[in-house]
Amino acid sequence: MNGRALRAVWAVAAKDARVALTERMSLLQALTLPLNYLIMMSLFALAGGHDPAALVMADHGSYARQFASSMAGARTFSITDASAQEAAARIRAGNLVAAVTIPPGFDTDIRDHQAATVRVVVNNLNQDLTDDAERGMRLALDQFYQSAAPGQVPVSVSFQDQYPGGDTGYISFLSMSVVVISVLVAGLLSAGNAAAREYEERTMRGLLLAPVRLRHILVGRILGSFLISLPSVAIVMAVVALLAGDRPQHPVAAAGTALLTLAGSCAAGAALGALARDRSVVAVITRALPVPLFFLTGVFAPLSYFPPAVQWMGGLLPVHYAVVLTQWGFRGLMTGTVPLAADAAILTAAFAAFAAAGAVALRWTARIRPARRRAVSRGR
Amino acid sequence: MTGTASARVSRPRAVLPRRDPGVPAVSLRDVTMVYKGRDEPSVDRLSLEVPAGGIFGLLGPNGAGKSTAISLVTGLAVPSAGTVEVFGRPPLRAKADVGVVSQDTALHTMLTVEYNLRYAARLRGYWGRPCRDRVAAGLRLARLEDFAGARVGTLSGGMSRRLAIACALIHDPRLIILDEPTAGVDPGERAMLWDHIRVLAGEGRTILLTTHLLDEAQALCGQVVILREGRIAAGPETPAALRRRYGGTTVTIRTGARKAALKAALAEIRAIDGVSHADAAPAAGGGSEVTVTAAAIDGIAGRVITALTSHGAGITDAVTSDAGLGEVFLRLTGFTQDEP
Repeated sequence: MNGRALRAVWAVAAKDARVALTERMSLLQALTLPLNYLIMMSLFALAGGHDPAALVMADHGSYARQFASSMAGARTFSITDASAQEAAARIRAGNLVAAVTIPPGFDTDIRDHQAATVRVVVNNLNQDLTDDAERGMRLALDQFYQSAAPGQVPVSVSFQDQYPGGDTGYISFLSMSVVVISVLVAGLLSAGNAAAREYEERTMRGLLLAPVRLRHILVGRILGSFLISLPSVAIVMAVVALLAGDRPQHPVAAAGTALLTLAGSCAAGAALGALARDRSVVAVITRALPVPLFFLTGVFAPLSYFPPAVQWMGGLLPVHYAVVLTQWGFRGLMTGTVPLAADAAILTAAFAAFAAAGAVALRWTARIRPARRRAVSRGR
Repeated sequence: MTGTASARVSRPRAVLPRRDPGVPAVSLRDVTMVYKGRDEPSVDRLSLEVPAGGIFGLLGPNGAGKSTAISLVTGLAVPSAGTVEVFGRPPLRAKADVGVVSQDTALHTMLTVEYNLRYAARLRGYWGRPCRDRVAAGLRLARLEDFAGARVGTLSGGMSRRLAIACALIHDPRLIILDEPTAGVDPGERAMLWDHIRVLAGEGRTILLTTHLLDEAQALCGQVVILREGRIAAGPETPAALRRRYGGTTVTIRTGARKAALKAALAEIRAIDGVSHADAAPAAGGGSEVTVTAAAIDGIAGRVITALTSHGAGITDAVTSDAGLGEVFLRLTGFTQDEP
């Protein structure tokens, strides 16, 4: 690319950035939409993170207290102490997943080697909550046995962490997908709006009449959208870093993945805007697309844990590879099915493919092409 | 053009040298364009040469193919058949020599007047001081120096149009294409824009003007072509030549002739080849008024007078008038002229 071409690229980029800055609502949207996703998905994770449960302690003996601490250690419940009446009222009101009652005489029964039953009222609002409560109680029971009667239970489970740095919080794990989707939304929205606006305001014609090559227009558009989206991406990454509670383990990889994803989404946005030629269409697609993508990219667990059909669909989506690289960049987690270098190569290839799609879309819409010769030869 | 108007819009710019002498500014050879989804061509085997220098008008009613022809010349449309050249080159290779002002002003309304000019200059490779000089010249040309920092969306229609012209001329193009340049502009602004266009032509540029306003074509164009259904209906010729060729002449004569003599004279007049209409009506103040409409024939007035006097009719007054371009347009296209 020679100096003249670079100048043309920069002219288009600077103009797009300036137009975006003058449209306050668009700017606000570009900044807030990724944050909205972050907040929305975090709330989703928070809702499922720790199930609220009430513990009714009808016995305060040492075994009863050990059982209560085993429940807390099961990492399933957010426990509050309550009376039997309070617990019943709260579960009726739908404020609890489970109301657990340690019965009177619990300690005595255990000392006498009698059966002791811990009563659990489960709010079986949905299967997931029921499963959580049952799993949590079994974990609590297992821990209780290990602590109350050490060495007497012949079978035990020994856990060894794959990642020595400790467990990754659910929100931390999920927020990596939020980062990628936020970057995707920012780029799509910014470039899509910039491209569609040119057609809506009929300024595209003036641009096409200038002695500038189509590919330089496209590069300028991607660059302008990239620059205007950077602040929102930086904000999202900073918020996620704060949520995760530590700095990215591989900052260059984390930042590089975000920038490459942003470039790819800007290229896709440029193609989308050129084809749609209408900002309302861009807005609808930009809002509709991320939700299915979000769930298809291994948001809750590595994609390899999912059924083959989901794996196949997720594998087709470049955002999956961006999520894998982001998980590694931030937390050092390996969640992909191919080596990291292959993830990076696929993501780069996706960017190239989107840029090519943008070029085709621009070329397709730039010049009015005639009907086929058959109609021409008909004449008059 | 008045001296005042000329001084108001002219710029200190040298007359452009005419490169490639003899090469027409625009050449369309047997060009046909059929849009997708349509059966009939919008431009049908159109052959046209626009000579370098001067103002060339492309007239026609809506749907005549004017805008399609412009799209072909600017390279925005690819012809179904035929060849389009601008200064002897394919349109896409001649972009640097062409400035286009389209019907819709196509400006960035959220940006300032100055930024629109700067953007136009930057797209054409001007940066730094040359860019600033071009912007300053553009502001002077558009007479918008006092509005440099104003958002384009706040400008009047005429101001926006002037800015669009300045943006299109930022790179000193040799060919300026003005597609309905005064559409939606008030009469005062239109007069100023006409002055503007004349000054640009005076600098040696070629101006290709499309319009459906016939007074505009008559006032500005050295040559005009009338398009109808994608083909040339008349031209290229000067507006005066078109009027003579297609408009014809109306001869109005007052006579004191008696009824029988008048009847015989009218019969003789109607027999003259080219006369389309001849009739008589009582004139105010006595006598009769004979009106004869004929194609442009040399000496038609004399032949009518001879026919009347040969039947003993005395002539008290005779007036000859040529048809206007509007009548020519109506005759050739079957459309009425839109109100300006």
